[in-house]
Amino acid sequence: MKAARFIWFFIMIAAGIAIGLYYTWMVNPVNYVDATFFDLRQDYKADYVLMVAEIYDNEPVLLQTMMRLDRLMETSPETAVENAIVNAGQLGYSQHDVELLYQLNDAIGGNLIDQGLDSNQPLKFNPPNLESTSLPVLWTPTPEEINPFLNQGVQPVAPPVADPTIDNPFVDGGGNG
Amino acid sequence: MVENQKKSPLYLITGLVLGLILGIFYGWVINPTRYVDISPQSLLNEQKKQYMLLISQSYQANEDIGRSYARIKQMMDPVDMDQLRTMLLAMEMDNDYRDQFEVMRNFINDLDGYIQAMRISGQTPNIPMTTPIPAETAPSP
Repeated sequence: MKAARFIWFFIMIAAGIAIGLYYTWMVNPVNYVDATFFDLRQDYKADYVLMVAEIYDNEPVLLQTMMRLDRLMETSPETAVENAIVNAGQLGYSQHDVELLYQLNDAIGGNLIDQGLDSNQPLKFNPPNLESTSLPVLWTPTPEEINPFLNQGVQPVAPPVADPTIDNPFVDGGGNG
Repeated sequence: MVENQKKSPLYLITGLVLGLILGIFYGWVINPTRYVDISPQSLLNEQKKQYMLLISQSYQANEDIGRSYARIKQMMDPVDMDQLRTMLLAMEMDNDYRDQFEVMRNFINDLDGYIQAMRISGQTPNIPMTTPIPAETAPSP
């Protein structure tokens, strides 16, 4: 009889746990109001990125733009923008808004290529070119930029040569004796 | 004759209460419900400020009060101007938002005028349909 009492005791504990979990998870869950931007639904995230794109279009400051995208806590800001572009196509965003998103994508160095609004087409991925190792030529100076006096009839003045007759402390007979 | 003593069911009630305590402690403290796919209404207060700042800055960029109103409505439905102004005052005292105070103040003033105009005209605020605004749904457990 004692064993039966223990068995029923643990059965009632289990029943109490089940009732407690049902109450705390289903009937009266914790009012979780401190969620982050990461927990936002995908369409809200897409709208968030669209706002970032609108701000960037008006005030193209890349650092602040990256900080805003970082708040979404996606894998990377590029991933956040790519997801937003995909969702924008599915949600029927306007042409102008999609262009803003692609502009933002280009600004942060994303890999998506603008292909229009057809969401049925697969998005192309532009992988970085890993074969070329030469540095890009950013600027080639003109001869005038190298020598501003090239075509102006002005010759640069050579620095004066030290007069050997002036006392030279490092020569015998100089000022220091 | 020895009468069978009726055993009190107190041990059953004790077990049930003990189980309830354990279940509630686990469900509320150790592993509470976590919402995913939330709306901006469920954001932390600090992040609501960041969200409102973002809406203000986007309004400054696109000057589309209807769209900005729809975005604010995602964070606060119905839109309470007193609560927004209280939030604005709190952000004015915060060093992180002081630089952008003018932007937010202009947005809230324009938003107030927009809502007042809609009330006077008896119309519901016009939400532009150029871009779909996310529908509000209850958070999932």
